[in-house]
Amino acid sequence: MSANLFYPRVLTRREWLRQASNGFGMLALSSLLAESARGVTHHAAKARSVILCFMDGGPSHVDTFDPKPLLKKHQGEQIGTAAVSSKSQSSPDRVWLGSPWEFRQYGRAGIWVSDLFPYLASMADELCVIRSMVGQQPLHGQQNLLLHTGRVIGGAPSFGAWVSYALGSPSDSLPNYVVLSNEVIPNGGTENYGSAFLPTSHAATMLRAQGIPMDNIAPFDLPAVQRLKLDFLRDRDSAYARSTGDDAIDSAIKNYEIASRMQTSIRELTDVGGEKEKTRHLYGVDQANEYKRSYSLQCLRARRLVEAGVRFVEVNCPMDHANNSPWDQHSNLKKYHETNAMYTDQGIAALIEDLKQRGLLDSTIVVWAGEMGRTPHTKQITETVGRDHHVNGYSIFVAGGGFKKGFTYGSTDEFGNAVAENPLTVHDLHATILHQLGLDHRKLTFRFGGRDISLTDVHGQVVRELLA
Amino acid sequence: MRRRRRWSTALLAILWSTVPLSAADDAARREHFESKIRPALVQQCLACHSGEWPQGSLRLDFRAGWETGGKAGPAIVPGEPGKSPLIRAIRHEAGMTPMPLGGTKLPPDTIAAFEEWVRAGAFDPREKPGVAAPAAPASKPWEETYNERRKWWSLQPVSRPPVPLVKQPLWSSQSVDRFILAKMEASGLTPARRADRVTLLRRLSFVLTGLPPTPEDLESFLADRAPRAYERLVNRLLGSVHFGEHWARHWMDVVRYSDTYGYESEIPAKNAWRYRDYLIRAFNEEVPFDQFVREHIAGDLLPNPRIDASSQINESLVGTMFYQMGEKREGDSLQFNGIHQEMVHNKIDAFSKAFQAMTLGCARCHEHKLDAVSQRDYYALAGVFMSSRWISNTLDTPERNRAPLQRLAALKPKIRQAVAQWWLESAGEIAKRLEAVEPETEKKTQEEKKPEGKPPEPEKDKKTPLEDPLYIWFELKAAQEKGESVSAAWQKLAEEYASARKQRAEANAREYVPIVDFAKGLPAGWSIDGVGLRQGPVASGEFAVALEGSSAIHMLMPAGLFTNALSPRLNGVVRTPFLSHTNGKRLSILVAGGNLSTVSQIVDNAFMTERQVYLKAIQPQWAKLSLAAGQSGDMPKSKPETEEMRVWAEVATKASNPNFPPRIGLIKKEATFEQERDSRSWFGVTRVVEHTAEKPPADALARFESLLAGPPPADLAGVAARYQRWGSTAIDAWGRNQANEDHVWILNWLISRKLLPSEMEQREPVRLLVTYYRSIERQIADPQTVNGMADVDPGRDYRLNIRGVYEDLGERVPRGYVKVLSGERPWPALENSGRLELANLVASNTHPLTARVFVNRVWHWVFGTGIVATTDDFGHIGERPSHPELLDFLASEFVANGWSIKKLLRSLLLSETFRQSGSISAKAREVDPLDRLLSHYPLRRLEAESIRDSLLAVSSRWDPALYGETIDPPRTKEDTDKRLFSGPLDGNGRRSIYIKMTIMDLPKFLATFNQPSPKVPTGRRDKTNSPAQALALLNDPFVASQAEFWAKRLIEQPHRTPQQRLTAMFRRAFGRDPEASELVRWTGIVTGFTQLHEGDLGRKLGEPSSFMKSLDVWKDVAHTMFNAKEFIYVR
Repeated sequence: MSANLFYPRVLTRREWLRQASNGFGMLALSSLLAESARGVTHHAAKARSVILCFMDGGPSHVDTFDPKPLLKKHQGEQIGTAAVSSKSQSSPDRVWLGSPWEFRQYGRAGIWVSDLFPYLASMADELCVIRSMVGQQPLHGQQNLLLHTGRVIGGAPSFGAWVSYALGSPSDSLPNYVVLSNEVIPNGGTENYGSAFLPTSHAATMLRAQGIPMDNIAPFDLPAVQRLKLDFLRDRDSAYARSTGDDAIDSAIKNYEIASRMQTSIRELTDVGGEKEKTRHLYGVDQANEYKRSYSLQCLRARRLVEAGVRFVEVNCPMDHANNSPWDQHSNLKKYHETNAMYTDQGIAALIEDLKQRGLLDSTIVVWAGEMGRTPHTKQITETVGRDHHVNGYSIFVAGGGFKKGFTYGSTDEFGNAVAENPLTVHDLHATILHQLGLDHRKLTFRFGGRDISLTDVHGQVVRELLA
Repeated sequence: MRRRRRWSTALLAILWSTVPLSAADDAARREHFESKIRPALVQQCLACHSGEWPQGSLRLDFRAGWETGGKAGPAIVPGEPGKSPLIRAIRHEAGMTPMPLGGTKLPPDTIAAFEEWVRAGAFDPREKPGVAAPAAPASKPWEETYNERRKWWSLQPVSRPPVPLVKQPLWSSQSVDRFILAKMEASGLTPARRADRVTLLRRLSFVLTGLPPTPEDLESFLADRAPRAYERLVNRLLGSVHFGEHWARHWMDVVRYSDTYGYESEIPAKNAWRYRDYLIRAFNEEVPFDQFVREHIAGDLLPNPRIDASSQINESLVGTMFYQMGEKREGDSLQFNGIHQEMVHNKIDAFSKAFQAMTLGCARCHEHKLDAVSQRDYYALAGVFMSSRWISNTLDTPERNRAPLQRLAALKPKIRQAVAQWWLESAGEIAKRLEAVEPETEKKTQEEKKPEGKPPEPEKDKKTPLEDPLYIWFELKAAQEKGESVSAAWQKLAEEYASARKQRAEANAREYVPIVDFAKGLPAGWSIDGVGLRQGPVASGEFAVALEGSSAIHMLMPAGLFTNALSPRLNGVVRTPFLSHTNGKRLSILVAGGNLSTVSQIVDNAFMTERQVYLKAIQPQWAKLSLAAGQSGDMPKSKPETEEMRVWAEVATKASNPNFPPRIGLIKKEATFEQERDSRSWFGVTRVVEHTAEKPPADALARFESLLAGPPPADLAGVAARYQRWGSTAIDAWGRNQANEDHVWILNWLISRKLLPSEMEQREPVRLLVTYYRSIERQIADPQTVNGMADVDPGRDYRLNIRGVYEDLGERVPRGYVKVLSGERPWPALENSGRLELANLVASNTHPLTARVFVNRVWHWVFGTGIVATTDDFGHIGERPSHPELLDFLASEFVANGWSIKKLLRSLLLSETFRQSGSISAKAREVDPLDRLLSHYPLRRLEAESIRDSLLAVSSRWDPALYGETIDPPRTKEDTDKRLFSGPLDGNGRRSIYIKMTIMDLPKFLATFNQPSPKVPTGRRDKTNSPAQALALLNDPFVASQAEFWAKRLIEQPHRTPQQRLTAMFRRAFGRDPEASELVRWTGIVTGFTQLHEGDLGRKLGEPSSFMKSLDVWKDVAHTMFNAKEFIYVR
């Protein structure tokens, strides 16, 4: 895991970078991380960055943040026709299933959290829990694309790409939208992270937890060899540019300079070796469990990225089993929800705590969300029982960024089977987050195919009840 | 919900009693509502106040919506406009959120109309949500708008403009050049001078083949000093087989080509690569473009399909794979409402953009905002596409495999004779073998594998069923063991069977109506396809030779349609007609099958049905086509959109199943990837019955009559003898070609129970014949299938979806095409889908768009920008043509030349316009910075595929083979559960067109250089210039591997000096010789690399041979060349 394994020649390159006098790679870390947003906001911004802790697969709401004691009471009883819904995998002969975990109230606000998340529970007073998310179709691909692009069929820019496009990039050698990936291609495909018709520079840059964090970022050459090549190419290509008289060549040459700098900047950002022992301990980056260690590392990197001015960071869950996606427990709910929670709980809680300690939480919106919830019912109760897909009322939470603290919004019915009050759509969530970033979701548009297209299309509204 | 808070809750009181009963009668109130209120609601309110999550929880799209009201209670108090929140909101009264929100206040007369409506009791006939909102009356009637819009330039007939006069006629006598020059002159520009021959060679090579010129090309072109050398070069490159590869890839952008339908897991787009190969052949063989269009739209319906002699493929059938491309989702509309409409939308969008450069998709919800396309046009075309089925087509001509199949057929009677003889001779062992049979041991072990916690079911419950002959045997054996009378037990069993037979036969006759006997032919509406079914139904007693192992016979067949009579690798499919699901009838089909053949039910013409059952039985069994929604029950009948659904079923082998393999979750437990890929798969069908009963017919047990006839045997030996006689009779009948259905059943049972000898090693004549049969069977080439379309049912018009909402069905729109492109005549009433009519219309010589759009695409691919820059949109949103007369001239020439693509290309490539150099004049930089007037040839970055292909070609790793299955791209991590496999780093040296396009995770190297995402047509690729591209060329292991591969070759060559080697490298990489100054500089970097790599080499500098052999040094030189801009740009 040592960074030196992947950058065996780091020191030499750094020396070279410092010595280079030709402008190539001349970028000190301080200026690399400097804020230099070019974007224009619509109103004063409360927050400047978003971290989406994406719970890929759909954690069960009735096992995490939405306690339903009645489920336990009626466990095994058929749900009947009235509980069947096109927004859930359901049929009348399914039976209610109680949660295997206990719920308790935490913090001054008495936020309900299940025993799955002891660390997050300790942060209860920072959380704005929403228990009334409503999706469109109970399918992973569609819901993932909806959460990420505002459309169930894709073909639209990712939320992160919109934010990057709107707010601009702090530096041209620093990606502005980063997915801290664990190499799980989510349902819906890499389109979830694409820029679609927005300029490609706003597509997500994927940084892996394991191994070399980014494709093609580790230099293939010895530093001196690369320097020789780059110097030679710059001279040669400049001559070529002059002979063609075309600006495209000039910008291609410039891209080599940026690429060269990225080899350094990405390493600097992802290397947590310089973090204090206390911080490393807080996140658990030295954990024995490799999945938990990866996730904690990515959470710590998320903080470093936000600190450096990156606008949108997504942290993905690791997958230790062969389900469709990490939280997709159609079976073995108990076993795998427990491990998923164990991998992610400490890292996210640490992230919130760390951001808070550094005074960054107010300007950073941390979102914890899957693409769906899970049915409060199941086909039959067995040892390996699981829950299926459900989009009519599920739970997410937001922390920081001017959202209310220690607050619970919306509710589902007493079985957790349908939203009961204050339904919140993904478009509403997008609109409200954009609002906190100083952006009006109706005005943030890009003209494509003759239309002004926005993240929220014709939907969504800013939900002020969620805001402090 | 949140904006409504301020509405007074005091208004909750509904004062029904105070509603003044207007004097107006119902008709007048209805008239008022329909003419004033409904349109205003639709236009002003419903965008937010309708659907499942309306703003403020208030719905205005049906009466109960405003009656219940939003969070603040009812929106209207009938009779009391002043107390109705809705009225107060549209009046913008204080304390109310002004409505429409964000819009302008409604005109006074509209507000007055609302007030009047509420005062008169708020008559509202809308009982159900969202239903029957008539199209919002536009400010102008559609006809008027249409008549204006149809004057748009691209909808006018193609003219034949005269070639313009120019001031400098000496520049060129070619027509293309005159059009270009005239525009240049009008802007005061002059053409650039001709490019030099070296530049032209490289440019032409990339434009025509997507590959760099070879040193040999360079040498021979430079040596050819004859006047027509350039023309010869153009012709030579047009004749290259690699021309087809490059131009097929262009077209693949337009048809959104992909090898998978990815969403949650990469489902293979069945044999899409065969469509890719079809494109390569079509471009190489000069298939006229109008024919190409017809094949894409209706290749399955053409009266004279085009046949490729070498591959023995019906080429025309491949074309309809075009429709199957693009976005797809698992499941059907009954599971996920609207899935089908979403997917059909993708087809309409792709069709209209690819062939017509129209954005017909915009008319799904309303009349087109800008173009002469109505919402009716959209649904007329939807009706055409929805009338066809999404199936897999068999491409093999009857000639393919003819010889081996004939030889197999000729061998079979001999095998039957030899085997029958063998079996007859060994029939005496049946009794002995029977006595050794153990009861149901297999089932026991399965039972034991069940998870603990459940006690094993009592032995009694899993006794051998009545249908199994062993039932009788075990019963009697038990009787004998208990010391009871075998003959009495026999007598009892005979009676039990007689009574069961009678009862079942009567019930079957009463409840089940036979509707198909496949031995006798197909009733109307049923259809079959596949090489395995081409010989027609088999006679009872036909058999399948075992193709491996020691057995001679795999199985015997009753009369019916079987795919495996000659080989289990032959494909086949039997399809039902569209089934009515409202008459309460069910179908059951008697079917056998194995190796992942399936019975599929397709609801609403689903693109990827999930209702598939794998067949696993040698003895035919009844399969009920339940057409079930979800887990239980038949199709719901209550909803109008359900009644529109087309439902059908098919029994298919793997190759003929358009949805095989399905997503991983539906097959993981059935088969490994290897089993998926195995080309064997077979099925047989014999009969179909119709019934209302819940269950399929019962087994009538007729075959037991002969076993149980006669006086009861005295002991178990006597019983065994009866079985032996029963078997012998069947063998004898089979040997004489007279086996009936029961004989076949008995023989299959004897084989499966190993009651007949199977070790053919002990029977030389059988072994020889079967071995010979197997050797011929192996010569059969697997049948070729590809997904496509079929018309097998009468076409059906679809209904307009109001505001594009598929639950809101409006009027039925007759099938047809966009009115403005149909000569404005309604189509005659169509029996079929109308696809053939559509194909002929689109491919007609007088169509205003088809030729223009394609000629423009070709221009785009040759010059980098189309005459109309927006290649996929010739409508109002698109750009106007830079040279409208030239576009028409080229389109009319194209049609006059028989839609020949190569003739068109020749006229462009021989033009002086194309042959200009890339030097930009100061004047051009000022007046025409985008080079729309083409006063020089634009500098172009290579497309993604050409960059990768150039790396392979230059390093000499390239394998120039054409065609074939795809190669997985390299991935940093495989995810086999999503079918994201990783392939070799260099793709085995194959060109990029052969690398698998997986939608979920596109080939990274190619995507980095803007290979488009295959969801929608992309006529014009992005040309981004990003740091990721620099990083890829600098650090991607593929690029490094090619540098190394090249260097290995180089250091083997007997170059004596670095200059000599560098010159050779320049020729390969840049298609030219280095200048003297360049040689000096490159020699310098060779020295630099040498010093860096071999610290001790400084001592050896005097010995040129050592660094000339250094892999490290030359790998770095090669890598530097790959990173030079000149490598990826063409001028």
